[in-house]
Amino acid sequence: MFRTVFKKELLDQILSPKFLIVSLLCLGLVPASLLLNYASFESAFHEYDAAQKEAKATTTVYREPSVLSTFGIGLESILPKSVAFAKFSTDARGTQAQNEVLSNINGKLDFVVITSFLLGLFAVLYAGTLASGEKEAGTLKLILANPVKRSTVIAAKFLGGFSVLLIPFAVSTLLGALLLLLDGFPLFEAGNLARILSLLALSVLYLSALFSLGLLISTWTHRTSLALLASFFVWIFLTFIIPRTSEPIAGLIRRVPSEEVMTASRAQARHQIEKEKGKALAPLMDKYLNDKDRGTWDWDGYTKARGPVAKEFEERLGQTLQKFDEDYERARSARRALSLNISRLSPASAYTQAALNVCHTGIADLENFSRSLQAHYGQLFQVLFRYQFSDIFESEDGSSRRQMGGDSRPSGKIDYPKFRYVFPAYEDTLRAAAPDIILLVLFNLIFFAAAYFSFTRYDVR
Amino acid sequence: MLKTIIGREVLDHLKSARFQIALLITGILAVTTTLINVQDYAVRHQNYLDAQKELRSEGFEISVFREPQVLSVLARGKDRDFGDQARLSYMSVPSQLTGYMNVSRGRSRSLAQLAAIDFTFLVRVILSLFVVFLAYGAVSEEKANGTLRLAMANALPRDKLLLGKLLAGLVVVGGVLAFAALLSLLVIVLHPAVSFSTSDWVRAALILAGSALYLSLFYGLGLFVSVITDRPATSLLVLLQLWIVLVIIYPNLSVRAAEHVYPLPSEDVVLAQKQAVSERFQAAIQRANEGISRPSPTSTDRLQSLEAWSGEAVEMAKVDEEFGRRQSRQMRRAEVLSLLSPAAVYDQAANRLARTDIREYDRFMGGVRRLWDAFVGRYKLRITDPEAYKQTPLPDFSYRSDPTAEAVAATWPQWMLLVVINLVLFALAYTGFLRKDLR
Amino acid sequence: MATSQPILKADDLSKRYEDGILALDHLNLQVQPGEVYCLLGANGAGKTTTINLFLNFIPPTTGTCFINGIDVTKDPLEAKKYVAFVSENVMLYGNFTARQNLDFFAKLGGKTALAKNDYYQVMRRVSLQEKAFDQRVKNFSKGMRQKLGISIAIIKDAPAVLLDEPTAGLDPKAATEFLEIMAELKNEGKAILMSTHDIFRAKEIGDRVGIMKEGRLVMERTRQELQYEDLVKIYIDYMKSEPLAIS
Repeated sequence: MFRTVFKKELLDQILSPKFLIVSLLCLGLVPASLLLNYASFESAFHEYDAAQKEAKATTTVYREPSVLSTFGIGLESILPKSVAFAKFSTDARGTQAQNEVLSNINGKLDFVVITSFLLGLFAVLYAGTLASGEKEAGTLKLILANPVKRSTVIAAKFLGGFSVLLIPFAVSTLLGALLLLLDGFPLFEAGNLARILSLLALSVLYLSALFSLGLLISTWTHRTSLALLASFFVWIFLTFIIPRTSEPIAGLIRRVPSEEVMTASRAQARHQIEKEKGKALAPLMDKYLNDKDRGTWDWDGYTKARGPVAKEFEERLGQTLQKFDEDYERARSARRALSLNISRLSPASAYTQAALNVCHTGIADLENFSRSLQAHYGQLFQVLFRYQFSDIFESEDGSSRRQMGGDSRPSGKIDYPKFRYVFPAYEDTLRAAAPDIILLVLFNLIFFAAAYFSFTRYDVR
Repeated sequence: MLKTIIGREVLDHLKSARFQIALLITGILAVTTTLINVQDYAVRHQNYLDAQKELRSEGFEISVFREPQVLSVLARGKDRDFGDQARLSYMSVPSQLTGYMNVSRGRSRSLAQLAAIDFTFLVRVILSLFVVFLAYGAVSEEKANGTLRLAMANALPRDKLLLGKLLAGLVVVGGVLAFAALLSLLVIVLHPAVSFSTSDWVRAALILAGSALYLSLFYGLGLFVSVITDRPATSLLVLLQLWIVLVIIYPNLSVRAAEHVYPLPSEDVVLAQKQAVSERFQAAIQRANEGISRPSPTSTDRLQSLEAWSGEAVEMAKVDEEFGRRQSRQMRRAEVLSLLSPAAVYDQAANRLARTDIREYDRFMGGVRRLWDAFVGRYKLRITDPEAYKQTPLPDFSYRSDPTAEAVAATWPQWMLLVVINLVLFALAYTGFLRKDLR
Repeated sequence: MATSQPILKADDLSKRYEDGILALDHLNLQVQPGEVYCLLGANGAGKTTTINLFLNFIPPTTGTCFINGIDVTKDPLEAKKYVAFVSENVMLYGNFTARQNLDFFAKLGGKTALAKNDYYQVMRRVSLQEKAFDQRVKNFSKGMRQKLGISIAIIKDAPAVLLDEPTAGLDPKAATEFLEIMAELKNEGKAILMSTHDIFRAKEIGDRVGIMKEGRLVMERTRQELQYEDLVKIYIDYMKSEPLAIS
């Protein structure tokens, strides 16, 4: 009985123009986006590789782009290409950074966006016609005049209809993967295959959730056009409104000062402490480095003498700045977490978060990179920065200013630490993606159960 | 007869729930987004005025501020993204603007995100969608519920019926657009911080006319699809998919394709080029520095320093200009590629009229460059002829903004394209309807 | 007529909808095997509601429907094995051919081992054109779809057949063909319950005729009785008479 209805559903959908349209769009967009994004990755990697090899300034580190950004660009474009370290400051380069992170995740056409956005729309729309369409055609009555359970009917319609969406998805993905392989994509290296398969599984999970939702909507009304309108609006709400407003809403709840304000305050605090240090060091400067004749400067003497005096100021400076940075990062993190949680009201967000983490371009990777940067800075500090100094002497009215910089490091070759950036392991990615995966499963269960229940009470007359 | 048809159609639309909901949402969005954009403009403009007051300085560095475009309240374009401040000194020619004055206030960054909607977005995305919802059932729904046959059972030629439906639809769509426009303009007129000049009004009127063209195109599309399908559900499904591709997918895809087909040199390449320039001038600059750091530098020394630094700056600027040229070329190519999407066509034309596209920015930067040349020339006088220097005033900053006539002429092809597509769709709907099986 | 167990039986059947309307008021009705029962009545009289109750599309407020002795609300799946349904004005699956539609519903009805020829035979029996057998249903006329609907019911070979306005919109030739098929089915021993507006055909084919008015079965006559009474007159009289008291 189930097989009969399932086969009918499958055939009916395949013969309809919907199938043709989805197939055309998938076959056109998926391979094209994969190839385009892989080309982008290749040029980015080439840049990275070249920069790495001829890296002269060893206080600059380069970030390896993720090959899986082919599938999901995510944060790849806003993570910096290189970071130049200096004492008390880091300079991120090569990024179109914006303060808000989540809004950058949407909008660039890649596999994840095509799935979450376009295929999600089709899933909801096509499912939205299932129950009401059958009713409008009068065939629902004919089916239920036979010894077949309503539960069988809806299960068969769900699976049959969903298979029709899966077929173009699978074929176009396969085609895309094949083309990528021919293009040189390292499909079988570094655990990429496992991640790509995980991505596909996530996509199917997400699409089935939306398909169930569409089915639910279909059982609310008896007119297909109404069901379609409702499905469309629901989709807009889930893929646009919730993700786009979660960040501003979080920003309104958890206010975080803007980057510019923070930089200004930080600079001001630094300036203040350095001014005080300058005042304390002024007598030393007069003694060893008096202004008139540079030839008579006792640079070594100054360097030695300044050490104990400057130490407390520099420690205070270090602590103050560190606290600044940590507090700011914590606030941003909290706001980001809040924004993430709000956006998880939509299965589209849950899917996107998990998918991007799998592709190494998600928020987990942003945080991982930040941590690596912090660790590296710490190492650089030990090896290099703590010896460097820059003393600023400012007159009381601020009108004249002198800056002396130097290095009290004992001579010898500097052993620069190597930047250790490792992409998170598969287990860590799974852990990070766990809440989203669970959410997707829940969405599936809730929507399908609701559709099931609603269909049992559906008026078939 | 025609009037009867039009009358009934219009009434039918007005009474339908979807029209009323659409009207309500349009009204709310028109008011809120215009309000947010106007307030944003007001803040930016105030910042600009404040900054202008401190413009005059005799220092080694002067600042130039870019006035925000008033029409950005309707079409944001890239006005907010281009930055608004350039610092000039003889040591560097600014290649791009920095800073966004509003940001330092910090407050409305979050809200600004929500305000990524402007009037043209409202038209381009939301109203076009509403038009699709209004149009999808124009013929197919009537066929499905049998009233089409009833209508045709009168002495009514088919073309008159379709014409009636078309005109009625345009009336309703025009009404919704006028409603949105009225509310937006009301907000603009009532707000004290915004004032339009005559040419601004002309441009706004043109944007409005373009919006009408754009929306009627979607009505025509809806009508056409409604004619060739038999069930309203099918019409709606097909139209929604078409809408997604035309309004969202294709513009996005064409930009990506343009980036790929006409790639820009990477940042590192540009840096390397600048490094090469720096190396070339290194010797000269070093000599100049030695001269300057002598206890009492002569005017020859200072002139040498000025020329070394400014020479390097000019060469650096060339690198930036070349990059800028390629960037403009890429953007123009993307524009051409995206012409298949009426949404992109409309967007480009509207931004051009509102002076919030890259061309306006290019003109501004041209003015900055000219100012730099004059500034450096005057600075030279300070060294060579201090008397004349005191006589010469600081050069004024000016640039020739896009005159209205030129903007109209430039956007003419895009409007014409929309007109042509409109006509083609109407023609297709017409012929389709004449041959339609009405059983 | 054999007086065995009735295949279709409505026992004190009532249905009041959520909005308070009493669509069916204590209906008692039986259809024996080999009997054609025609249910006449104005729109809203309760004919379609009766059929919907038999098919368990809606639950009764009071009373029971039995198909082949099975209570349809207690064991609907079992009951539906024994009834075939012909709906009014059905679009069927437009993308499928006539045969594919027939195949699908045959399998649903339990006939899983039929061959192509069996389908062709049934479609011939209802006088559907040969060339339409493998054509897509979306191009069918109303009459053709009606015939296909009937063939769907025939192929199930169930002891009871329910029809909702089967001759509505059929031309005289098709209607006559339809009556011939009904006569055949009746002779095969099926119990047929047909709701219709068509007084004349009802008189021709019905072994018993019932008139419904405002949810009540106000009159029932057998074929013999109708030889002496003018059904048309009775029917019109009932239609014209005062509305029944609201209960």
